[in-house]
Amino acid sequence: MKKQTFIGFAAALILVSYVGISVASEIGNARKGRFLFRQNCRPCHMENPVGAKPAHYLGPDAKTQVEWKAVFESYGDLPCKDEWSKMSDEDRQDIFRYVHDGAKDSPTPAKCG
Amino acid sequence: MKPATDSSTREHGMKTEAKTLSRRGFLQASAAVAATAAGVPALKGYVSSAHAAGVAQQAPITSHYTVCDMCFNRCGMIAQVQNGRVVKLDPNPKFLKSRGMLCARGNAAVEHLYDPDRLKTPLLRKGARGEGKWQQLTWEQALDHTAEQFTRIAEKYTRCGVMFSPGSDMQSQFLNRFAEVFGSYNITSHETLCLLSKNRAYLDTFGETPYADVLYSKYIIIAGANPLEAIITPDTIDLMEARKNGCKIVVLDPRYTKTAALADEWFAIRPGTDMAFFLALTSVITEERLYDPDFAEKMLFGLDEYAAHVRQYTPEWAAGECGIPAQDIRRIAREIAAAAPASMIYPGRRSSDYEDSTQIRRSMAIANALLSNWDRPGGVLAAREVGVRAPYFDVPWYDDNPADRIDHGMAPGLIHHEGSFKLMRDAIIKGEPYPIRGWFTFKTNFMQTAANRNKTLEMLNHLDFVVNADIVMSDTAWYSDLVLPSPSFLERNDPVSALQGSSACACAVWRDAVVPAMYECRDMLWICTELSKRLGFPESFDFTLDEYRKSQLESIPEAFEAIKADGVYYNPSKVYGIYFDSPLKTQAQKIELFNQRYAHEGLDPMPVYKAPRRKEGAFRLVVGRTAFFTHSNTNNALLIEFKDENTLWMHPRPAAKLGLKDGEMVEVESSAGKVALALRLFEGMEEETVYMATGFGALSPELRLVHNRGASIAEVLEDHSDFISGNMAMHETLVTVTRRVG
Repeated sequence: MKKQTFIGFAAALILVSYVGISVASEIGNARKGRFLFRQNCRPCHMENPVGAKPAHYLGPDAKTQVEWKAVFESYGDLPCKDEWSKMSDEDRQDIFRYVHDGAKDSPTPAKCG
Repeated sequence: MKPATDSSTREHGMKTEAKTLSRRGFLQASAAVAATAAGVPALKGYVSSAHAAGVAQQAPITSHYTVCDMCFNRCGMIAQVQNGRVVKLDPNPKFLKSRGMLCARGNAAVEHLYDPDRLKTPLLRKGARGEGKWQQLTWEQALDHTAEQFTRIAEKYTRCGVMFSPGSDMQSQFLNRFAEVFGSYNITSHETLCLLSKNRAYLDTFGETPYADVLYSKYIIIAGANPLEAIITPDTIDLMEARKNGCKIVVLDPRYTKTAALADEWFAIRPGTDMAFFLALTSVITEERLYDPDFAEKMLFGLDEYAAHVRQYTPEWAAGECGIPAQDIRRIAREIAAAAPASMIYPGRRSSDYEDSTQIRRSMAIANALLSNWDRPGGVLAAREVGVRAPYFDVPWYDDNPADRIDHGMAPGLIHHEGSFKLMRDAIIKGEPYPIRGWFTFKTNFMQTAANRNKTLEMLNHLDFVVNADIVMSDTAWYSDLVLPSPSFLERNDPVSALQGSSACACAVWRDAVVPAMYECRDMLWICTELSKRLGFPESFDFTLDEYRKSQLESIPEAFEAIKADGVYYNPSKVYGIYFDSPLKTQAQKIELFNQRYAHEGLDPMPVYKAPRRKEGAFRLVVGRTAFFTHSNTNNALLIEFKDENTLWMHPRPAAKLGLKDGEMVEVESSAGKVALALRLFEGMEEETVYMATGFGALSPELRLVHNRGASIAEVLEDHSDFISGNMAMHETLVTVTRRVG
């Protein structure tokens, strides 16, 4: 049984050339997305941020499903675009699935990250 | 774990010496408890020395704020303590949610605390499940054993191989946290037997689960709810006050309930036909344009489609389905529309009725939308800001875990953090899509509250390890492998709880122990903390309760002093018009009469009436609870005096056809099981309906006041579920009733 408690961004060094992903609401693992969101996004987006780039509070229910789709399709516009670029497509898709499934207009809005 | 010696093995049950009080003896003991207030020594031997009242001198009485736990309402109370014993419980006059009231159940919490049937030590099952042979364990042994079992199951079946039922207690959040940190998604609750259909319906119509502003309403239709008996605060009290202020109350119920008795009009609606009434009601409102056109323009989505849809559902058609005359449906539609927006269809609470319950409740929600009462005085309100935060914790990720919870995808509108006990139970029995082999329950008694008890027993046969923490030996505890004794709410410190009370209040409370914990009882925070050390995640419970409360109240630090001073903190947050300047949380950002998601998923986007099943010679069984008990918490010596067993209610006419007489024993049989109980003839029953109260016919001999008294609804109810939400459907059972022979 493999337990991951921290996802370190790969030290890598290849900057991806695109700044948005084509996301689909039917694929990805929302459970893993929740874990990744908490590890990677929440430190800066919690009520009293502790991350490197403190930002406003965000949880899945902060946006509608359409708004989340727009965010992910143009993450290059975000202040944290570098962190996004270091993530794998799979991880980004998992996080999208999590916030999309818990969006404020979703069947089950999720209040906290 | 060190094995306990045989000398510590004992049997629980009617044969156990300390457990063989007769009813007369028990009542004498109870009287002794009550007499303590007058200075009479009482009940030594049942309670720890701190609680034993055998003292020569009377100390002064001290008062302590606390919060009731005899039902889900959490009313503020003041415990009066003398010589280390609780001698009386009073209402907290500053507690607005209950309007300064404390009901009979709250008063009887003294008996809950000093109940001789309390669990006293950890117990490990020694014989077969349900046989009643137990071995006393130390807490060290109990916790080691639990950790060993959970580790074994996790290694063989993944972390999701353990199911958690954290209950609805103020400490349930700790077991929820524990389950998540342990790594299981399989968490379910009593709510999956209760209100999920209603929540689903309102979420899918308004984007919120609403609160009824009963106090300021001028016209209320109550269907599928009994709030003047099944107490809900502040609604129960406010209904009486609203009535004094001229509010008209119309009740639709196949049973003449306490609510019906105090209503202006009661209609004995045929069970399962409420949707027919509301479709017809809204057809009148749309046909005659009795709605507010400005509100409709701004707030409603799909009004034209809905008006066209309900044109077929005329009052004349509905009369044939629900039994309510067409002229009354038309009149009521005009009356309630004239009183709008200060009028409402009462949303209710328990909606675990039919396979179509979400759509039935959506038909009621849509009627509310057409009354323009959303977010307005006398209507249905959005949740207010309280300010209590959920402390953050890290969740792990396990690569070998399955993709989702075991019931994922089994109902299109499953509420993911609740799931569906009914669907989970089916999946466990089938072993698909994956096995679950462990179960941790806290103050949740599915053996008595979930339909089809035989299926719950069958599920247990598929589980390797069941651990149950509770105050008494409930039926679920009786069939568990390990039983952990919990303190009552008067003996423990609890985290902050946020409460909503419609326009009455948005408030926060906590509990501090009024008296020390008796016996070997340990609270859920302590249990989770100790287990987390054994299971390798101590950092997840590395906090004190004070630190936890501080985190909860980070954004409202003024709440600390308020709760200490008054027992409650009120947030003066906005009550009405919360959404006047912001879009609703629905896809259309308006109230969805036409639900777009339903249409996309192949569900009816607007409620479509389906007639309930009927069968010649069979009755529809409906269930409910009284004002005296909450669910299966019937083993209370004071409250049992109000009602000491349940009966089967039936109208005299069908009884006469069957040759049955009032008071005789009858057998009630469904495809799920058969029970025997006394018949009560009552003219206030719809003639195709019979009724049973919940909470009786306990299997556990350690619940001596209700063991084998009356009959259990769980034994005879078939297990159906709401097609959309997965909520249990408790009113889908057709039964035959015959005289008991022999």
